[in-house]
Amino acid sequence: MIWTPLTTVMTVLGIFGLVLVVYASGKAYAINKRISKAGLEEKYILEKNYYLLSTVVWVILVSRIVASGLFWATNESLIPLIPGAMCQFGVSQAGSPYSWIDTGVKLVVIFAYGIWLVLDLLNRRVKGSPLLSSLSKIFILLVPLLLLDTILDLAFYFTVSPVTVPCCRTVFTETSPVPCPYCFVFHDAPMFLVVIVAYGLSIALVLWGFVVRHYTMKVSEMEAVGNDAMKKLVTVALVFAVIGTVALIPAIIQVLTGGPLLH
Amino acid sequence: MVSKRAAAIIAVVIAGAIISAAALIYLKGQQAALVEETRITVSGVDLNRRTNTLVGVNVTSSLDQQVGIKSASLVKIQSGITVNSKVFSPSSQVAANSQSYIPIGFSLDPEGADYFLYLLTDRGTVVKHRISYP
Repeated sequence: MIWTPLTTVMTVLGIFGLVLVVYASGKAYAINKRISKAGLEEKYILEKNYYLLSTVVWVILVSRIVASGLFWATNESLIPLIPGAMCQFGVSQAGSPYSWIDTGVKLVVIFAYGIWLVLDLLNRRVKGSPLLSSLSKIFILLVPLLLLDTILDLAFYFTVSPVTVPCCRTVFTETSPVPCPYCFVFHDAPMFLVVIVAYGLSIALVLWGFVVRHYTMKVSEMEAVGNDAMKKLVTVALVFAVIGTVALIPAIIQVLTGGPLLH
Repeated sequence: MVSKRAAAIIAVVIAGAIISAAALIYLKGQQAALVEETRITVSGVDLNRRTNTLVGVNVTSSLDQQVGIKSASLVKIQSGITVNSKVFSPSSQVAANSQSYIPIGFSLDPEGADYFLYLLTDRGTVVKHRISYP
């Protein structure tokens, strides 16, 4: 393990997330199991329990989304501390195999976590919490991903050590059809980072919009709130798509205008 | 209305991805199409490892005529991007069958990388030299 402020934060977030996931998954399972057979009084108690669960899940998911962003910053900060590492490829080599799986997981978690957060926001705005059972089920479905996300973070940052690693120059040579994504995005064409984040958020918002539409069609009480939410989600998605496209212009200009035959 | 907007957003993102890929393919094609100057070689590289700078290069010409170096570009092999370039005004002259020093002054990645240094001659050709740093 290489102890730096960022790896310490990632470790703390990992342990914190793991403990809360274990606590919340038990609560979610109990609510999900009892809600279908519950009478009016028990339903009221379960609703109260759900609000506690909901708060805990918000803390878990928001902390995991923060960790997803910090993951890249932490890996970038480790480059000078690992001999041979020139970019995050080298850092991932030092924490292999956990690092590679963790990188893949980090690219998709926001899509999955956002679904629960958006649906919970809508559920709070509708009288009678019609999505209470669905949200408990979705959280239970998210538990394996959350466990994988937190455990991989801990495994990766406990494994990574200052060993000499071969970096991307062994894989990405002049004959490679694609550039090293880490060198390209994080070091040499950072405008593409803005493009990727903006387009990624745009796609995520559209995906969450489709999920909201699914529940709006399924649950009649959700119609007004759901339709309003869909419009807002798609509008924000459009804003991010525009930001991504605007950022793409200088990004491509930077790539194309530096060519050897320019002058 | 919402579905149409969603479809438009997805189309914009896909178009963005295609344009980016096309730009990279174009760049690779542009680099591959360069006519290499075989009778001029980079015979020495002057590096300052303390400041991570490519200070200059020694160029050896076996041509029977004087040739001018119009510009220099440094392409990072791992990313395929030109990370540094400069125009020599006036051109740096390399006399026939001789060696010349060309001052460059490009900063290099302190963590290390492989580069191609391109020197564009006034004959329309390029002198290509690979530099592995550190």
